Amino acid sequence: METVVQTEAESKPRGVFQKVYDFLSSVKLAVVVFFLLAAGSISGTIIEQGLDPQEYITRYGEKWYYWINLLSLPNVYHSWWFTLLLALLAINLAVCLSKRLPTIWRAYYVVDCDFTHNLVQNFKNSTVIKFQGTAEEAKHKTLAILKGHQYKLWMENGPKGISIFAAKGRIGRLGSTLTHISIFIILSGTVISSAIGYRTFYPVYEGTPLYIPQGDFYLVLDKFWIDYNEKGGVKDYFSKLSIIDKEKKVMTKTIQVNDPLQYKGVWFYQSSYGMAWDRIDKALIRITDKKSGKVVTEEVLDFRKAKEIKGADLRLTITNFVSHFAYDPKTKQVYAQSPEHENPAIQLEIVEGGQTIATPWLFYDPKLQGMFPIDKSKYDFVLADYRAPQYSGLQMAKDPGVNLVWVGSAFLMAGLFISFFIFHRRLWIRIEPSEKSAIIYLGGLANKDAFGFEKEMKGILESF
Amino acid sequence: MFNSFFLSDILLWVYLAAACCYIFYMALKKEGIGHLAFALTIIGWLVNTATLIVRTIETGRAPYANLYETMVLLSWLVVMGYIAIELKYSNKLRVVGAVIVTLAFLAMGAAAMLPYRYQAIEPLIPALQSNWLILHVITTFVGYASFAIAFGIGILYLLKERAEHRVKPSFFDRFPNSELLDDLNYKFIAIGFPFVTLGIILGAIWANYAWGGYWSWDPKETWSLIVWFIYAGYFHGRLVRGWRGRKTAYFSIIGFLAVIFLYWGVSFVLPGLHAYA
Repeated sequence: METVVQTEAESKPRGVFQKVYDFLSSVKLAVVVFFLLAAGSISGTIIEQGLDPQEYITRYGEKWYYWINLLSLPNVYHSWWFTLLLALLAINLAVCLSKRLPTIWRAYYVVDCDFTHNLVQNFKNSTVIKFQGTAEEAKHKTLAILKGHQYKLWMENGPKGISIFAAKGRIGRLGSTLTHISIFIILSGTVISSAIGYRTFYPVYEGTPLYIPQGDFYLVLDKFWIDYNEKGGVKDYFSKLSIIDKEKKVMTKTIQVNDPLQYKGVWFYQSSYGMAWDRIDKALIRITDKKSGKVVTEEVLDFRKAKEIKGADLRLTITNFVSHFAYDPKTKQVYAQSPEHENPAIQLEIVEGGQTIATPWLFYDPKLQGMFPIDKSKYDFVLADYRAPQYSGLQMAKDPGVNLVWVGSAFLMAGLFISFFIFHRRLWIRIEPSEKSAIIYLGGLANKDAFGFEKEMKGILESF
Repeated sequence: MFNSFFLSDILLWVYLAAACCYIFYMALKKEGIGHLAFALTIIGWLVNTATLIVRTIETGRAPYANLYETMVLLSWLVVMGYIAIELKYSNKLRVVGAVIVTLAFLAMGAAAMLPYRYQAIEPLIPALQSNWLILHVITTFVGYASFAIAFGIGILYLLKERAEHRVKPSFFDRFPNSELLDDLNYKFIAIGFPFVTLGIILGAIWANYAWGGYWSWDPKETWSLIVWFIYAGYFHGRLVRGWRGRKTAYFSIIGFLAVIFLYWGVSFVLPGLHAYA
């Protein structure tokens, strides 16, 4: 292992710039940043992300919520401090790289043929061979053996002897540089993703065109269907989608999970499906006469379409639907608490005798039916049945950062492979004539895999 | 009767027998027992291979879709790694076998004790119906298996290194010398790290293709990143600071404990997208 030269800076008086530079390139900073990033990441896996404040208070109590909120723990991966740490990591990476690059480059590039046998004997792996033959013969033999081991060779003939420098796998030196640059590229990809990448979820209904402003075109769901397996479980679900651009149908594709559609850089992924929570197709309304208690009629009503009820002087319209009834007293709004059909209700507009007399909410739950009779009407109204349309849950994404992430990932793999499996090995050989024979001094260095290098050295010696 | 569960039950006992033989071999120093141990390991590995094949036939897909199936895969890879060591270093490193085959036995034992819903053959949910499944799981598990072997070697290193400081002859004299263990420990981590990295990248590509986002800070993703950081730290310690021996051995142990949490802990403790395994 070669030690990194770090003493130059220490002997000089250090200016502010130098201090900042040293701080930003220090391993200590890297360790602290890594530790904090890890701690933040772990907290995000323990504390569930993105819940309502109320939910955190019930789980952890007011006191803890104060700290949870202060540290942005409900959204930790996008909090200011997590982002700051990532930025520090990137800066540390860049400064470290710039600091080490000259050393790496020297090791990669320098060819060293100007040395004496003293240098050769200083290496941990070094030997002296007495060669029976002339120096010239020793040189040819050495060159042949090293070529057999795939070494690249440089040579210099001096008055006192021959110096040979041999090296292979020097690209291995650049592996770590490539790896660190790749991390930088991946980080920039994620920055672009979060800055201009766009992701959203659409519940899409059959036949209702959806305008996509990111690509200025319309998306239409032609059909949605589900395939079931023998056990009755969901095997697969599909959406047949069409793209309408400038009033022309330009594309049709049936997508499913793991098979998205892409148009103009906008991707549509099959993500889920479900029953609508804010609309229905049809509902069955049972109308009873208050006096006699007899059912007058049962009427099927379309959503948001007025219907005259014959013989009853009524006009009914279903104006709204919620799948899970909830009422917000502050805004006096009715809303769906969840997309589940837990407590479905419709709002019915009742026009009786030419006047709108009430707009009550009717519940599907039998326990809640008839709780609020409509005083002004002769009739009672009950929501007997309804049918909600199924939506196809589509995830839409437009993210130019993705490609940069993939480029970075490819570099990362290449960098790791080069730095782990290509070893830079260098040999210094000095051949000096002595009377009838020659003395060969052989020494070398490997940046990694000391065991493998020793083995190769042994092999080379045996060849002599 | 001749199904994958039956085979994996047999496998459990073969690995147990092999592990016991290795331990007797260490204690009694009889070469014959060592050969028997290796023969049992080979038989175990063949049964393990058969388990994977039968499971593939039973399910009609790549058998890596739940915790039980991946455990069978993991022990297969770990034992294969050991067989490679045995072939390369002949019988010099049989003590490594004692640890690795014990790990494989424990893995199969843990798989057998899983609740049935983690073992049952269920049809693949739509998100898993993809060729990315095979690539993602295999690369990840080659990484896990390498880390498991490095973990075993790390423990051996610590035992041996301590014994080397004593003068008295001891049980640990039969262990290969600590430098060789240290070198092997590094080599397996150097294999595991690129594979786990590739596993994470393939997972990201797949997630982007299936869900429209390459990274969603799901607990499995987050913990894989933490594991990645730990081993990245290992390499910086070793290659930049020149750490050797004890420090790196501890690192390989801590790293693997994090892998166990990533693999089992996250699946059982933390909810997320990756709930299947």
